[in-house]
Amino acid sequence: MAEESRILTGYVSLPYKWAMGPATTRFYEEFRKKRIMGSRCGKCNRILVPARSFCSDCFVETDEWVEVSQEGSIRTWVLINFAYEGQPKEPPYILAILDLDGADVGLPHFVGGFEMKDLETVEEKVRIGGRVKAVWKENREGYILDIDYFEPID
Amino acid sequence: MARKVAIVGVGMQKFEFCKVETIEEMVFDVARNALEDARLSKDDIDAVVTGSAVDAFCGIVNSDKVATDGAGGFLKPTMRNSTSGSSAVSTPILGYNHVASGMYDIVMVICYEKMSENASAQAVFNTVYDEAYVRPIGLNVPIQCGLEARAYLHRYGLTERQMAKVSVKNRGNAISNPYAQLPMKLTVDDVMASPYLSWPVKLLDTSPVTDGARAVILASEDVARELTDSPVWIRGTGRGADSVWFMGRANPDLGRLDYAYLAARQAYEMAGIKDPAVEIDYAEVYDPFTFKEMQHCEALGLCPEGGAGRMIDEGVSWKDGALPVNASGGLQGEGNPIGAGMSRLNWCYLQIQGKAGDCQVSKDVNTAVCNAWGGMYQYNAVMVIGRD
Ligand SMILES: [Zn+2]
Repeated sequence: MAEESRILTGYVSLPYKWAMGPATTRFYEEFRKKRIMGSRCGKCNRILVPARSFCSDCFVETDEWVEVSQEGSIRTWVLINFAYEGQPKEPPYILAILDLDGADVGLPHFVGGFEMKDLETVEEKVRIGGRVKAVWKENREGYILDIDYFEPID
Repeated sequence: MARKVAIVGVGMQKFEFCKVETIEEMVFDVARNALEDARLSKDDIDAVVTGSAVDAFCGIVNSDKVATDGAGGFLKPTMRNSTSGSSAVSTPILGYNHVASGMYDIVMVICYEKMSENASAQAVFNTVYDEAYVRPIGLNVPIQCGLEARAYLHRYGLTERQMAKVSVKNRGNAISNPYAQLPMKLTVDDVMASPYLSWPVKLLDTSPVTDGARAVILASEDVARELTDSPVWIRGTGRGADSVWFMGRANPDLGRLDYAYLAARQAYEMAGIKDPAVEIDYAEVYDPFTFKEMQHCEALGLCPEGGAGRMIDEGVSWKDGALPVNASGGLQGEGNPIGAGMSRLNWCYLQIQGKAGDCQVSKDVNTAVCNAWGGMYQYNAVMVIGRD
């Protein structure tokens, strides 16, 4: 008997070349030197990390570069416990939005460096407002993953 | 001065994990159902507005062209709308603008999504993130919602058990909905025992991957009064966007959705509604995750800010409550074909008409509100409908 509706299978694979833009290019060049630099808005004085070439609040270009701390606090976090297609790590692992000292925008990144046995262990190490510090990779290529993760320090 | 616009018919179909029909067959089905409901024919339609969120699901770029024939749109003015998930309500708002402006008298609005055709919805959702900062660290929808849920629970002192009650309510409501994909009789403990995907978000806090379409026919006042003695009017519309930089907003902790409050305020001002918790009889609230229903109830003023936990605890939003929310089952229970979340609007209309079948609430429904959400946790669209 014929199927009601046949299934065609295929694959779409498209190569891209994404412009990073001048602000992100500079931001990641500094990563090679283990430095986290933000761009400052001359009008509202916010320091944007990740760096951005303009301040969307004031609608002016940012024109100054300022180094921010490699330490900061956790604004919010999530424990990933499920292997999604295309994920960069095997679960369990933690993603967080981090407010680095001296920066006015949060940086999304991993929190790690400890064993995530169960929820209780994780809750002992990670909380909203908890302090973290950047852990860099030995080999850096000017990319977000040059920072391996942020480790809890309190 | 904007003209009055009425909803004069809706087209429904069953939401399923994997429909055997093509997109144009799905669209044809709901368009014909809506024409039948409105007692109109294809040639009565002046213009067609279509909406869907993410073409990568079906693998056909600019998929709106495929919807043209099924919507009865060829040799007519057509326009596609896409504001990610909020297309579910921004698309009927675009249809409303077509009629309110005086440009067209009868407009067919179609929303569709065929998510099953890609092998991994979450891999598709990873490609909506920017490639320089967040795509490499693997953000996707359940993960970002985990970040947002934790911030929200923390800000207002709410609990995972309160989130779980939304899942119990909506999947239970879906048992009465013949179009629903995921009706389930659950307990709070069942939801709490479901596996953590992105703590605090659990499997039963999420909505499924869904194929489906919905249609709504809009008409000018003159046409609507010819077609029916009791028109249901679009009384208010609102939209809001926040910064794509979700980590750099005025409300930094992500717990409060400023853009949704903005969209709601516009819609209520236009509708002349001052106290939505009293004046709104019924709501269909965008609930792709349980806590999103809670956040949206607050932003829509159906409960005080931070009061969504009490609202679900005290039974206010349950089917027999004072202000029922998602008696259809919502996205949790009926299914979540992103753009076709326009179903929220269809169900508001059916409740007002008294045609919601087993989903009909016992109280009188004269005024209802629906919303939808999308983008980088960024867009909201709100519509208020009701009788005179
Ligand atoms: Zn500024």
